[in-house]
Amino acid sequence: MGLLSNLPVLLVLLAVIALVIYSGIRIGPRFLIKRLAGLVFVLFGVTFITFILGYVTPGSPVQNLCGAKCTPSQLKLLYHIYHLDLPWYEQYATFLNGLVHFDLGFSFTQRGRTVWSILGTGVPISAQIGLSALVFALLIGVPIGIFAAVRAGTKFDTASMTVALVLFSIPTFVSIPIYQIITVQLSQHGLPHLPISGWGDSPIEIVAPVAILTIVELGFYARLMRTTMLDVLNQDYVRTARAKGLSRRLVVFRHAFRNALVPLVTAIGPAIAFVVTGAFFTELFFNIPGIGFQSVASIGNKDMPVVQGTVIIVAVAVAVMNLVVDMVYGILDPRIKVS
Amino acid sequence: MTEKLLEVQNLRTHFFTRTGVVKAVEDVSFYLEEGETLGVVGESGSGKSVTSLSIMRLIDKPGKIVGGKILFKGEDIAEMDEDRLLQIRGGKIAMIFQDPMTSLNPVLTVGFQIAEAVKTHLKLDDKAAMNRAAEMLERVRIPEARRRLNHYPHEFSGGMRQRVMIAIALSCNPQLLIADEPTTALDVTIQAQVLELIKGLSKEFRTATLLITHDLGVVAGTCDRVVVMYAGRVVESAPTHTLFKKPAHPYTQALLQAIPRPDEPPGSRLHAISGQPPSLINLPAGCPFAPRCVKAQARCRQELPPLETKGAGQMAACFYPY
Repeated sequence: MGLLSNLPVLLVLLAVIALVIYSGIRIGPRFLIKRLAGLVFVLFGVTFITFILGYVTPGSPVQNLCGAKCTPSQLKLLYHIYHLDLPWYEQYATFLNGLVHFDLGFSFTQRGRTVWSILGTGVPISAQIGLSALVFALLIGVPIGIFAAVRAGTKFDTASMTVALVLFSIPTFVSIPIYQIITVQLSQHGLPHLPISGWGDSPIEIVAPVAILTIVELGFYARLMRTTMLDVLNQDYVRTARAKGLSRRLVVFRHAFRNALVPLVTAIGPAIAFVVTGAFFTELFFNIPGIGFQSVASIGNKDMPVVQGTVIIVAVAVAVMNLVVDMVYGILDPRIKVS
Repeated sequence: MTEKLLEVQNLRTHFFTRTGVVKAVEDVSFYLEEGETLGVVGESGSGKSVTSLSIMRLIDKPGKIVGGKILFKGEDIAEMDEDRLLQIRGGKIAMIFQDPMTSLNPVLTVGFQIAEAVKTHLKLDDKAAMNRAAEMLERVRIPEARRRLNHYPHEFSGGMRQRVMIAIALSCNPQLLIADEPTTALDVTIQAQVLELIKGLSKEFRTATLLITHDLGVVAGTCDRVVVMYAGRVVESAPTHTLFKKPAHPYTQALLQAIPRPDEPPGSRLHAISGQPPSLINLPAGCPFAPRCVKAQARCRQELPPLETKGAGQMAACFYPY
């Protein structure tokens, strides 16, 4: 898709890596090691739960794979290939053993494809769309929120927050069909328009899905930022800053904004993590082979290895982002001792 | 007659709330000479803090200064444009607030917060401003000042934080220091230290002080003159010793009576002023204190007594003083 459309992904990845290194130096490696050790236990728990849920789900997972003319011996072979003939603890051990080798096994429904390759194609696409939307939503939403808080009670405040609420409230399965109807109309009248859907043919295809997701998130971040900024602007220390004779700009950005960042970071952390689950409706309507589409499809198909793989990826992402968020707290607020 | 440092004339600050107009400050006048310490006393809601915030023009919506003048060396702060206001705030008039626990920014170092004021008003570079900050921390008697510059507010106790606030306030050599209940949130032992510090430093820096308090004991030990406020109005103003010896207004008298005395026999009842202060939305006609006043006559409930001279330097808003 070219470097440009991957830029938001790179930016977020670089930011996360830089933060881990910076806070590792600042807060000390002991904290980092302790938290990473804790992370191993969390992931162990997650793997067990996802494995057991898959195990106890009724129905034969490989029946479909075998097809209509399946002979008992073929079915038995498939059971053997997928280790389904072993007792549950051995299955789990095999599963864990594969996991530490980054081997999540084969898909039950997509013949010959490994889970890893399914995740490997889906997650980057979803991440590219999701992180781009997040970056744009923050770049637009946060300044709007700050401005609305500073001008609380004015027409700008009321108007922007109403629009933000509306944007935030429209589900993507409503806004995307509207977009597509408009696009069809435009193309019928020979007017310039963006692609209706699709992926992989032209870099411009990313614009519409990113824009749709940006709009939803933008409303959320604008409102969140307004609320927290308003709260901070009413704090005593902001009054102290004003009493010092500081300009409005310094009061807002130096004294208020930094204190308003904690709730924002709290929201952004999980938002980055859940990017790896993809945006199901957006991927469905735009026909994008992202992980959101894949994982929902795999649940329907009882493709347990893919479901397990997705859950583990999300668990890792959430755990890592929680760690990052905690470290960012430590940087933002000297009162929070990370230990 | 020399020009007064600060002259507040008929100041009126109202808050336009949903339930009605709250007349927090109504027709308040007083003055302050250079180097003088003036105490403003009154109970909660009497308009003391709103008066001090009005002088700094720090009244936010829904509040508004609706009338009167705030003359600082002849310049009217109430009419001042934003640029001039920023020079006055912190530079010429500095302020200390009630709660030192919340008045310092938790995410910035103490040194930065002092240096920031210095850089804004004295136009010093970073290094000189930090030196000034260290000097100020020493002046407010914080041990190991230079090392403490890099500490955050949460690493200081309440009394220490109020010292830091004083350091910030005095760092730019202001001509007027407004201290809005600076000791209310502190332990009694720390209160005395902080008051002594404000007293000593304002003398050293030749700064006039406007001390807002509800504690008459604080006034007695610190102030040259006192203004007593009730329900958004000045009810009495007098030199401190006159006020304590010969209070003119019944409200002042009642306040002085309410101070517990060590010479009274143990177990005797404390004196309290019966009733509640009036709502500032619907002030009754006449004297606002009349409903609680033991001396009130029919006239007090119909006519508002003007603030008039009753003795040497003593003014009171009462028809039946002493």
